[in-house]
Amino acid sequence: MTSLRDVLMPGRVLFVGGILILLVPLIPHGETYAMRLATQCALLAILAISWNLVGGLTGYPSFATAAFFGLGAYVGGVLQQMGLPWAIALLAAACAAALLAAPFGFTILRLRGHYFAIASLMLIAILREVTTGWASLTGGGMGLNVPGAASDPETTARFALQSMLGLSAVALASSAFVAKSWVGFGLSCIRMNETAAAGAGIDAALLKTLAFTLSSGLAGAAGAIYASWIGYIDPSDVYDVMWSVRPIVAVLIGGLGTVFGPVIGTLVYIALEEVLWRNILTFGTGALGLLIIALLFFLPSGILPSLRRRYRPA
Amino acid sequence: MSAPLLRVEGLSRRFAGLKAVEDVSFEILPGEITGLIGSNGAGKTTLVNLVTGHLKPTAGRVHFLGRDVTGSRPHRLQRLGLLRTFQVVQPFGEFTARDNVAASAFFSGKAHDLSAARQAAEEVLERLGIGRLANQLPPSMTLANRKRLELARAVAARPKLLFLDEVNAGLNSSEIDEVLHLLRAIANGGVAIVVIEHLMRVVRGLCRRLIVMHQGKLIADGATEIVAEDPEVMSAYLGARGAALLRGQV
Amino acid sequence: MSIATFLQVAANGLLLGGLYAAIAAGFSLVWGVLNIVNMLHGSVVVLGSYGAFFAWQRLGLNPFAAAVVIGPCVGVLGWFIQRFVIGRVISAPVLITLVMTFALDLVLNNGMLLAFTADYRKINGATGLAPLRIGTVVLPADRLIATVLAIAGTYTVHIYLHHSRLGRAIVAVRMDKETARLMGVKVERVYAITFALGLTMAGMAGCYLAVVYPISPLASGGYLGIAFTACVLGGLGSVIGAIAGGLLLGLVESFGALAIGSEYSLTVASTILILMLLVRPQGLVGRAGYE
Repeated sequence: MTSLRDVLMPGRVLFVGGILILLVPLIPHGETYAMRLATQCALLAILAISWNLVGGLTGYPSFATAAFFGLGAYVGGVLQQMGLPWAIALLAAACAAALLAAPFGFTILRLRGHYFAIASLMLIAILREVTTGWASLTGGGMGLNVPGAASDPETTARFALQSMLGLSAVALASSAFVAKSWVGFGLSCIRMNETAAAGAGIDAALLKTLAFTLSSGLAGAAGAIYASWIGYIDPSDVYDVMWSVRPIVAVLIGGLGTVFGPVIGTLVYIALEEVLWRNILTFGTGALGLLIIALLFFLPSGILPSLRRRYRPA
Repeated sequence: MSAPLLRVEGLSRRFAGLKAVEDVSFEILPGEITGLIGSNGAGKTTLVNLVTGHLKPTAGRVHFLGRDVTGSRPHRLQRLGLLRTFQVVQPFGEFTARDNVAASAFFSGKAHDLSAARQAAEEVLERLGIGRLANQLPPSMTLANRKRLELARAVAARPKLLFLDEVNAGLNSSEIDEVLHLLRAIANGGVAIVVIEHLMRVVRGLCRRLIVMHQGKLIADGATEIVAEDPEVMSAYLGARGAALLRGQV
Repeated sequence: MSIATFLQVAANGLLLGGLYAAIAAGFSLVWGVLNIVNMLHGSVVVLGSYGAFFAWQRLGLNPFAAAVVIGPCVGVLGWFIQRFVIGRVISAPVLITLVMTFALDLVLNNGMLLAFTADYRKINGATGLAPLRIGTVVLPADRLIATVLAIAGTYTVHIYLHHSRLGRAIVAVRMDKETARLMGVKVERVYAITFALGLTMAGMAGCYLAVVYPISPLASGGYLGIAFTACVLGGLGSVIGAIAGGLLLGLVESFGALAIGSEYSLTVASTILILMLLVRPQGLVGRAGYE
């Protein structure tokens, strides 16, 4: 039983998030690098937290994050291009992701292990192809220009940071809430022993689908903010399997299934990625691969569980 | 004559040409302790899987409490009060014994929130003699205690009918006696029980009625003493010694 | 659709399918025996293609001949990867092994990008033979030879698996690892050899593909998708299943391109894959069991 989870109420997370958002306008002019990094952190944190619900808590190794991230980016981007206000586009993106996730998730969550992972991975390719093919709506392979929430880059950057922080607070609060509630209890049971879970009266299909839908909705919302932030998206950029893998690695670093693991893992991961990108420009992604291999060798359960094991009272 | 809890009609299941269970029909009345016996591969576990929703039948119907529940999934049957335990115990390995039982108590709808469920769990664990193990994890428990935990999880869901699949497998003689004692207590609490068993002395001590399966078919169904004399049952499964054990003559 | 068109599209599909079978066979074997989904597979195929390309460009060696050398070289690489990297996480949960092979793929793919750039290379006119004509059906010579060799090579592995001692050990491990161990089979060695064999087949498939398709690290994702789909269609761990799945996939794509257009080929393949997983996860030929 994690005392930290018990101590932290979702409300407090939202409160802290709110404070951080209010602090953003205080960032000095021209600190674009710091703001970019912070926004990237918040974005990866959202994706990591959302993935953790399905992959960590429920134990289903999903690779679908990128699919819903990309879907959210395109729904948000297209709607904004049509002139809809940013907030509506964001909401629509989250809903679109959830609406696709519910039936798709319900269907593939009947699969286990490798089969589930592959089926979830294939959704990325399907959505990428459909998006590219529907060029009249999405701009196809040429990409889509998304009008930012504001006209100048500095305001857009601040706005994106605030939105990402807000969404990450929502994501973390939801995750804490789920983990503490009977839903999280049931999902843990499913992870540990799905047969026994059925025997305990748990409607596994319902709970799994719920987790998958919530996770996908968050990823979709993140995608919409991303589109507004970057200003230009194309299918191979957002429907990239790396958007599925980076959150997984972040959670593995921080600790699978824990509430704060995804956040800690994200911070460590972004730090490492920055170091790699700055110093090993051409082989950056390859070096990332080596990093992941090293991680899996030396720290297989992640940071938080290793710390807990060391400091657990005898 | 009270209404049957469970009514199974013509239940069948094929696996690619093999008839694992063929045209089985029987009833279970409230308060009965019934033995389900037969040689390995006779189809006993498959039958239990079919009745409790872990497997879909290829033919036949299952009625529980008067409703047709054929093909219903295990969690739905659990909420109605039809449960089973597994031959190889299936606990939640990372949860304490208390949380293991609380899961059943909560998700069967018998406790309205997790803290009430945990409280109910402690009571059940106490009743089954493992109250002191409430904070332990299943992997660190002895097999006998893990079996009790499995029983506790079933009891916490307040079942009306409980199928026990080889609950005594791997236990020594005194542990088996303890399990028998527990099972009688559970039955006295109003739970109908069906035990899949190999040990004739257990069957004799516990079951007034026997159902015998052989090669997927039901070949006998009746009072223990009568079934024990059935020549077909003797030749298919019991043998002379088994029959004698059943009659209490050994 | 006229008969002539039907036959041509079918023939195209079979030619394609034979190559797909070669891509899928090694992948299927590794999955079936080690229970590892080798995310590295597509990049290894591309590596084989590069091997054939440079052998052709620098040494004037025909890709079909080069395959015999390149395959085993790639296989040795596979042996090392299994022994020192994958072997350490072989019993880990699906998530870990998937991420591990994915990470290896990142290293290999980006290594190739660094070494060879993303520019597409092409081998033109490997055989210089004229197309074969059977009635109205045209079969380009290069493709035909590539497909025939691909299927022949794959089938040879199947024979080897069932008629050699090592092959039977591999099949035994695939069916029941613990029993095989009890019978004296050195399971870890079988793992290493199977992985090496799987990569050898991938490398050789790459050589055959080099005759037909342009070569670039960017193509690896597509090859991986083909491997998945053909495997699921045909059944895991069985080389015959990979052949069946590959041929079927080739036909589906060929006819699908006619109906929907080739930009949706991955969508068609993926949808079929998902449907197959839901309806008959053990594939056309395979046995249920492995997840």
